[in-house]
Amino acid sequence: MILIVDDQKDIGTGLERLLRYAGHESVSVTGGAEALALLHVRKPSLLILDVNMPEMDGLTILRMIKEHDELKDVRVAMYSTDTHPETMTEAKRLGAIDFLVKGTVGFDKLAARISELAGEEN
Amino acid sequence: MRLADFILSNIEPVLAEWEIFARSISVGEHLDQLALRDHAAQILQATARDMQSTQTRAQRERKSRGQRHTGDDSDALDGASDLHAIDRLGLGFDMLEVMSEYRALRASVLRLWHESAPRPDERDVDDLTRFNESIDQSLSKGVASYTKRVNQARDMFLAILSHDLRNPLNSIAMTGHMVPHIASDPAEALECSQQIARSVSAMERMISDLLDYTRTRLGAGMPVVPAPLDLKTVGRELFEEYRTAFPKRDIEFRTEGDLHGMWDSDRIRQAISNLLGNAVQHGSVDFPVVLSLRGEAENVFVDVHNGGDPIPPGELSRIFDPLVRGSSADHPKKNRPGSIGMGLYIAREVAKSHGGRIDVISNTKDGTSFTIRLPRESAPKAGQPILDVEHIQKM
Repeated sequence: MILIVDDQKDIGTGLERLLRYAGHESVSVTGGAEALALLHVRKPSLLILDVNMPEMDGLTILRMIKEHDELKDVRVAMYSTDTHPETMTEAKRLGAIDFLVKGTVGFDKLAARISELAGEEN
Repeated sequence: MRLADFILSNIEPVLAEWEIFARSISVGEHLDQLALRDHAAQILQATARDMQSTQTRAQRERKSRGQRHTGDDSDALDGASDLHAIDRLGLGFDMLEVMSEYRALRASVLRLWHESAPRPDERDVDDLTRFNESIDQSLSKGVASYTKRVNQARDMFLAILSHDLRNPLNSIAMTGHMVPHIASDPAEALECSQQIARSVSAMERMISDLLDYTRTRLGAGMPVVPAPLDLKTVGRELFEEYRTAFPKRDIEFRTEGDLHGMWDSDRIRQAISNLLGNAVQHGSVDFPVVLSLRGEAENVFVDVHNGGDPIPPGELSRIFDPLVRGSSADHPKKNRPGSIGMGLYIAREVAKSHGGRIDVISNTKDGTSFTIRLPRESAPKAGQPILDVEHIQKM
């Protein structure tokens, strides 16, 4: 299962649909609290995190996951329009395995890259 | 008395005149003494010290060509001029208004000096030259700092704008990409079309806000068409809209007195909606967002209140200007989805265009309240279309 966290619901559900048609089970939520609650119930093969979110930003969620004994092995990729080098460097330092920039690659390539990161065949 | 000594002995009378002039500028009308005087005392002191410093013939020639020499007094003058220009930009003074303060300062100093009837001295011309050079140095430093900050702010603003437009655009592109896959599933196709429509209207709102911003910054004002309106109806509709959009938030609606008047319905709705959106975005979920409408004899007051962390005092005066607000951030700030951070600016322009105003109070004890005062019989101010005949003639 691939879990998507994006405060903009249409982005989350759009990516969820893209991945579903690419053969993945995927779920999207709009906030960090909801995502953390879900992670304790079922660990995804990949967590896709937006960066700029109002209540809990993506880097904070990433840090919390990597500092949590039971969650630290969850694979996390960032998916954002924030292309500041400091943001990208910090995400990698905290343990994100990739930083995907919204709108910069075709959606087939995006789905293929996410499949690869999730280690799932599609 | 030499001019530099006169300035140092008469800082207060010069500052008093400076304050009166700064208050006469529309932006300065409601500022307190501290904000009005800002760095004027430091500029005056540094000017006088700079005038008193020894200057060789070569240094004088360089300075007359605008090439200042380095030194503690000159650096202090630059520092004060720099801070003053940035503060004035933050308060909403435009560049001509900043320059006019210097013109008034120069005139005040020279008039007060003349009125003090100084004994004629062969060094008077030299003093006047040094004074003008120092003021010119301060002015050119201020203009350079102001321009640099505006350019930085504009770049930051464009970065934020492109960032915020990219999200709905990405959503449209992604949904469009799925069309061949979902064409045979009517339910999925309907959901996708609704998703595209939502993203399109979010982009339309952003572009419309940008257009309003550009229009008002060009000095054309915000066009309003006042007509009889019951504000209670508009308030209730917005209250219902926000309660539906944010079901987890406690939103309250209160009314008091007669709420009828002559206003532009769409613009008033836009202003109140912006304030509600701002309160929902920045207010704490532990406190209600309250929309209150209160009618008095001449005016109607629209108040939007939220609890939570107050706006830092230093930012209160600049929150209405998206350019200035954005310029202090190291990263593009996060706007509400479908917004480019111009809500407060547009709310202020709507109030102004109806002959009213907007005020904000924010502290830890009482939370944050934005209050729009609307004259009941508002005469539209400005509002002429951009580049009509009259406007072109004025340019």
